[in-house]
Amino acid sequence: MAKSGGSKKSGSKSSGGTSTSRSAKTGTFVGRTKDGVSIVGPKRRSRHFTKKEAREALAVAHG
Amino acid sequence: MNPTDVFINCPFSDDYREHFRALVFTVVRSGFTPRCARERDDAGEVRYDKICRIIKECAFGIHDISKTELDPVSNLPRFNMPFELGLFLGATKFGARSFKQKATLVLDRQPFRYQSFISDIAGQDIHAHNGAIATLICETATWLRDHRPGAPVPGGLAIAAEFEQFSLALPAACAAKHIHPDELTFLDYWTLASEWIVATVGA
Repeated sequence: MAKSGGSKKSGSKSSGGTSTSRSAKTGTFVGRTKDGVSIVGPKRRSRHFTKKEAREALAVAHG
Repeated sequence: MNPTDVFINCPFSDDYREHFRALVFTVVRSGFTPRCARERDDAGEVRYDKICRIIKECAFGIHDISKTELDPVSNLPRFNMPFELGLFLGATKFGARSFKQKATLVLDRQPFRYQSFISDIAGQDIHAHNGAIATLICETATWLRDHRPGAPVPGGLAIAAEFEQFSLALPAACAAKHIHPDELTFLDYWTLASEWIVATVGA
């Protein structure tokens, strides 16, 4: 199983030649935790926060 | 089918908001990608079609069927969660061959309560959370970890502690953008949670 948002590109073929579902990758890699987990955020922009705005808002929250 | 996508099928009511957010946080913290009917606000897409598309794309489904109370306004029960659970199970049964690999987690409040209202799935393993968020996180995290053999996914208690910490930071983060935490959309919450996790427990 893929470690990060690891989906196949739309219309790609698996090694066995079977067609995979035509789905867009929904997540985008944000970073990795100390324990080695790949963290994925949304690929699409959210209504109120860009990634940069989210980081800034959280920095304010942390004081 | 995306091997890390997790379909979250649960109530979107105000009284379940924290539980829903706990599920999203746990899925993200465990290295998976949360998906739900609220991921895209597109009036041009019929809701049923959207749910079918998401189910098709997800390798995992988390279904909380605990909300069985009557709606206070209509005085009728909500059938969306059992319906979407049925769709997901149907996909594994009748869908493409690869869909048989889809894995399902069913959550309820008590272990055998579901047999009184959805006896057709009797015999399946149902996980109980007793309405407690920490238990919900632990049950979900353990189940997700079982599906990532060898991956360094943290335990449920650690994730529950992080979720509590994040929930405390959330109001101040929202205040910085002049919005109330209750106004956060699914994508807002996911964005904030993923950024917070990397900033707080990042490498």
